Amino acid sequence: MLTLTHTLAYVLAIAIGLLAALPVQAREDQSPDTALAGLLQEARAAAPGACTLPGIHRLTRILCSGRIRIGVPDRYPLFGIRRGETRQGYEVDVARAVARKFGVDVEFVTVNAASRIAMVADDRVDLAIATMGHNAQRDGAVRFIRPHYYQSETTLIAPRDLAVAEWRDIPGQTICVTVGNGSNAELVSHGARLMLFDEAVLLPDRLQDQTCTLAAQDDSFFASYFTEPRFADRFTQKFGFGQVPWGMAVARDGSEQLARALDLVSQTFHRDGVFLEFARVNRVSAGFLERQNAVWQRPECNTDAGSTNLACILPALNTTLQPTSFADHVTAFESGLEAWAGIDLALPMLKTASAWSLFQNGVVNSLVLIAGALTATLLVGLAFGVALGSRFRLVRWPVRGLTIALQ
Amino acid sequence: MLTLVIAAAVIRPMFGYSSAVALAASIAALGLSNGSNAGQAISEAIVTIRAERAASSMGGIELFSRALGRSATQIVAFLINAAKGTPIASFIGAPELLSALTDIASFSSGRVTIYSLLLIFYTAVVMVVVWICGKFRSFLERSHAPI
Repeated sequence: MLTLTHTLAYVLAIAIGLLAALPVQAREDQSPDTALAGLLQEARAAAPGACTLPGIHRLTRILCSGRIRIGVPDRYPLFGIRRGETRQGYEVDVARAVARKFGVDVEFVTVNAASRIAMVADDRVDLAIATMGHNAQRDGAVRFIRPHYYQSETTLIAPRDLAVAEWRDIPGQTICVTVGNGSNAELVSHGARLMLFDEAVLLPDRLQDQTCTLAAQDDSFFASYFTEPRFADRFTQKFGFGQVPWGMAVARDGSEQLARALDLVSQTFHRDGVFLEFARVNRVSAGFLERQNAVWQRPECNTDAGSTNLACILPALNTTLQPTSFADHVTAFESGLEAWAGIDLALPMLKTASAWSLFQNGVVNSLVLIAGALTATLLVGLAFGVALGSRFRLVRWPVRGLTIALQ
Repeated sequence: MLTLVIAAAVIRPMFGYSSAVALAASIAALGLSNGSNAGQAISEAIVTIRAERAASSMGGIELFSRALGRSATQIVAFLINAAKGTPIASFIGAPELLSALTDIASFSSGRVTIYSLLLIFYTAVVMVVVWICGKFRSFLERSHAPI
């Protein structure tokens, strides 16, 4: 009887143990690590035979060649810098870690803001990790890896003693910006006056020589300047806006497996604090990465489907401005004129609602200003004429003095 | 330019910053700088007519209106100058066309077209102002032809 009871107890204990272990096993099976290992194993298994086949998947090709070509910047302080043959920075470290994860060597290729998308699309690099903000417009050109490996924002830099802390302090302020910066429209909508520069590298100098009181630019750009005590003592970040997630990017065609593998790699790098460690080593702002580290440790995100779970990943930034009701006609007119006469005409003030509104207000205000200036000139002229032509010195002399001062 | 900056510096602390304040400061500055020159031209015409007609009993309104007729060309020149000078108001943040187009250029492509449009706008405006001033000058000269 005792033996039977013991046997039943053992069986029950084993059954309970198996039942308890089953979900863990299931969770492990669904982990990104398992999925990545399976994907790489599958690609490696196909590699020997598929290496010579035309049109093979990029991941297989990378494993066949034993190297991955990664486009990184070489003149972006803290993120990608090249001194001779040595490269360093946050993105360089990420690139090396990705290659290690795949078990291949890394071949660095220098890219910049103008070339990075074209080089990915033209298969001159397998992957770009190049300070590239993920916005909806770029989704059509390249495949962005989720989750994002960094996030930047536009930050307003000014002297420490300048009383600017929020949007309501902005109207009437002149802010130095670079042409084409996506956040300029938001600055304008808050009543800022903009001073335009072609290159961001000019902004710190213009702040220091006081040409600019305020400058707006990506915080990752200013990060290196704030490591210089002389700059950091004089200037500070007033506030930030317009957060942009940064994404690694691969080509849209032939990269399904590679993109999937990178999604899983990125997930595990967030979960395990790999990105966070690289950020700290390179003195890059780590606030976003700390938050992402917590997100990717959550059970619902730490799965092989985490990179498609909308509760875990960030959306692409939508920078599309609302078009006017006649934007299509304007575009058709521009295209027609180019086709007919070869004239490359651009009418941006007619295409987006914010630009159209600015343009209309500008025309009305200019006409008001011109009418006002003409009226004021006439009235002041008549009044000064009477006063200066007066026979009374007490009337004539003060006005003469004022005229001399104004002239 | 200096008058404009001083006008903005005086008006802003009194009323704070707004588009209307920047426009008002610009109008005041342009009116004062060009009006003072026009006023001097009128006063010189008054002095000249007074010297020419020392023996006559001409004075008051008649003298002034004749001085206006004599200085009409200079007045018109300063009016046109005032109209042409309005884009400078963008320097103190007046939200006029130059300022608006600079803002548009900051987040759009097509800078060449944008600033070409500005050139066309001001050319057209100045042509209209010249035409109106021409009518005004003809009126002054017809009304007060030199004796």
